[in-house]
Amino acid sequence: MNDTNPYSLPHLPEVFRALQNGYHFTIDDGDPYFALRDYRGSYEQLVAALGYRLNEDARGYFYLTADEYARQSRKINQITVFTFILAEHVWQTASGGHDSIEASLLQSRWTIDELPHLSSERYLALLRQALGNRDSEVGRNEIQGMVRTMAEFGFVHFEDASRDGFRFRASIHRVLDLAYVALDTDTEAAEPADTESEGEEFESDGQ
Amino acid sequence: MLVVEMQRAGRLTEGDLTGLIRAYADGNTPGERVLRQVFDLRIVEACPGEDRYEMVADVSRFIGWLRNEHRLASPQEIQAYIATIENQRTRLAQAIGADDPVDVIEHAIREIELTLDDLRNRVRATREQTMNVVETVRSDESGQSLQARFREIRRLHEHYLYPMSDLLDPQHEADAEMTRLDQALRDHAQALEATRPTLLTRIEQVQARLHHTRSRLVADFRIAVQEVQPLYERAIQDSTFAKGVARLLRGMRASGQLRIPDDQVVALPRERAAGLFTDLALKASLSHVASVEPAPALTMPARPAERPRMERPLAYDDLVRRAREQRPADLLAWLGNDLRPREASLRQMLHAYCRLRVRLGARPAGDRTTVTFAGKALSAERHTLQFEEEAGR
Repeated sequence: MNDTNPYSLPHLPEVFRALQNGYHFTIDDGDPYFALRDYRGSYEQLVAALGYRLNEDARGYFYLTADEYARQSRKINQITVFTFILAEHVWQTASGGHDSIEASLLQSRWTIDELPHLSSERYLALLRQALGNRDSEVGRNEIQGMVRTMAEFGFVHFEDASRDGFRFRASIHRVLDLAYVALDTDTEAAEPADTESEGEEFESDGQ
Repeated sequence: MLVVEMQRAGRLTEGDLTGLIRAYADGNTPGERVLRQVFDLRIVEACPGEDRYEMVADVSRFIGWLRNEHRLASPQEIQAYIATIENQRTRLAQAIGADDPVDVIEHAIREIELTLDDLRNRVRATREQTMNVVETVRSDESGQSLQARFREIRRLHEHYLYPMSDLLDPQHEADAEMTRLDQALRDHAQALEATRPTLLTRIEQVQARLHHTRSRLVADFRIAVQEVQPLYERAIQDSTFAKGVARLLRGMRASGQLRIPDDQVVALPRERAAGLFTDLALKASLSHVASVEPAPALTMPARPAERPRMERPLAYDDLVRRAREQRPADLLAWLGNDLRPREASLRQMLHAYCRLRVRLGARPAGDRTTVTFAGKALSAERHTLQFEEEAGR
């Protein structure tokens, strides 16, 4: 597909605009995703000329990165904390028939009111930290805001117009992978001495 | 039902026991009589050192077996069976060597048979219990968390099956002892053939039992391992993931930061500092574009005098449906054959080709194809629709 005219690539305007805004395309997006997949070489060349890199993950999603160093934004930190709280909840509670954390996260339909984030003081403290204000109130609106941000980046999609029910998309693996990164990183020395031993466990609530 | 409930209930107070008996009373037999019977028949006995009662172990095991409940055999238990067989093999050899009476040799043979049966039954029970655990984990009947279910799988794998593989896998301890026993039985059969033919039959019977036990041990153990292994691998993966999540959240709580190395962050392109109009490199590039002199305008040839033929509209939905049904190996060639009789124009042909390729997700086949259409030779990378369609499309 390298001989394709880069200015007439299918879905170019919408695809590029979304990618540049941090959106992750998955098969759920239909034609734009297939345009990226089928014209990947041309898209790669085009975005490379603009200083970006088009990445395709084997688990089925495309996203853009800039070549130079970039920081992890506060929004991504919020998304990470939000997702990991849910992962912890999934691990510690009845799984609804799913046989792994990943399957439980990706195959379940979630609704804002049933999320565990507001149910524990530890979760609330983590969310306050992620929001950047230890004294701020965290409620349903903040949770909904985080889910909407995730939808903007293509990590979830809403299932109804009220934007209450949502599902994770394959692209959430980009965030989930950070758990493995954390294991590869030697941060133990910096951690407080009174934390529990890790083993396979999460921290328990109410500490 | 009363006995099953007693087994299920475990340790009972006298009140619990009386309550259970009352709940299952048939109206004809007084409760006191039933209570006396469960003690007289040694179904229930007092727990040592406590004011409670429990089912006698043998009865409990039998009821458990009826309810398809099995106890896992520990590696130490299997090892004890192997050691027992070794002792019994030596005892049999001594008895035959010393020309002991028939009943002594018969007793030694019977002991070996019983141990082989016990060993086989314990490994089969381990297989059954393994299947029970695996089924519970898979079906989520227990309502346990993933963490608890995987702890169960890890316990099963790490405390029972993995150490047991050192005993039960071919060429390992159990197999080696079985080989020694088999050889000893062959030697005894040879020795007894002429002198004590009655015992020879018994030796042959124990040989048959040995071969059966040997094959069942390996088969049952392999089934148990095959059932648990995939769940165990997933458990390890999930537990690793959970550990990473715990570490990251703990770091967040301690320092208010997610500690992620710079080269691993989830960075968003819109937050980059370069590539914007303030970027000098881009400015230079734009000023270079501004300085380019455009080429002179091309002179187009005069339009032909005759009026172009009107295109007949194409029913694209029908075209898509036909393509989906026929799943052509060469989309361009298929389109040529489909559109030629419909007198489609070259423009329509090319338009249809692009549209179908994207809409149906045609995949490149790796070679090129050439098709003649409306007097023009069209050449393109061959695209095919012959693949499994992805779910959800």
